[in-house]
Amino acid sequence: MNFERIKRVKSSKAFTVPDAIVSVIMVIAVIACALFVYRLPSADVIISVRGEKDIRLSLDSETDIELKHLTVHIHGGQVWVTDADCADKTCENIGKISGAWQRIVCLPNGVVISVTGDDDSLQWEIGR
Amino acid sequence: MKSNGIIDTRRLTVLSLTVAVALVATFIESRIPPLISVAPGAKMGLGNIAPLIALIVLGVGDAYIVTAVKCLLGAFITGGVSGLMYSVPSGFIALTIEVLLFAVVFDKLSVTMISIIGAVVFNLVQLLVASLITGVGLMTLLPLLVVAGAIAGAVTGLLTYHIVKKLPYSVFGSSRR
Repeated sequence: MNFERIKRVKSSKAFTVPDAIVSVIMVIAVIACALFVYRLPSADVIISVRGEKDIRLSLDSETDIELKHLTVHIHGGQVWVTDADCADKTCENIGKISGAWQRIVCLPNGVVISVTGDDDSLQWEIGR
Repeated sequence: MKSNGIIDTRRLTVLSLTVAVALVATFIESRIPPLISVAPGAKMGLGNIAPLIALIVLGVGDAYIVTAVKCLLGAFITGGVSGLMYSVPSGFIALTIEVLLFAVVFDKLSVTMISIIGAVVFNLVQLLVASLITGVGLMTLLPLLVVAGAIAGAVTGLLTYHIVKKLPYSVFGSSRR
């Protein structure tokens, strides 16, 4: 038994002044990190087919793109997929995405649709 | 584990009890569906009270023993043996940080804060391992997991502090031998 340490813990406080300082530093660090990672984007949509063909469009471009196996719709800052010819329809069921860290993946056809922030390197790189 | 050539039974008992409580906590927790599903793997980690208590009450070596046993048996109990890849590195690195903090800045930083830092480190290492294994940059989960770790660490830290504070010395044995 480490009685000396038990005694020190018993006589210590649940929360100290240096704790508060460290907490504040941590909160600032997390906020800074969150701002960096989730930077509100002037976002782009990247449509990638089998990791090769990248189509890059602004999220504001009101357009519909017919690919071989599915149709991508970009309207009102949202992206969604219809007319997928795969069996599972996972990509359609995901629904509309708009955030900078969201994506629609259609594994059977190797199509990945991702919404990017300003810095692509921070986005997930699945299938790209 | 030895004092004066004889095995210290009280120490052995406290060690076993700590591990047992940690495993029960881990088991109960694994049965509760996650409250927030945004951060995969984010949970309270009540079992993490055990290494911290072992570190305070017993010592550095015993804290590592508790962590090792908790990781191994915890993986079997929750059925996620592949989880060892995450829990072993995170558990040991987080504990090492806590050991260092206890040795250097304890009294200035409270048990609560040391536990918070440990839990945050735990989550960071886990995220790092996940990134290495999947080859996917998981940066977007980082702020979320830091916050989750801080909350979990605060809860386990406060519990540990109050457990050690409230338990009478007689539980640990006579202090003067």
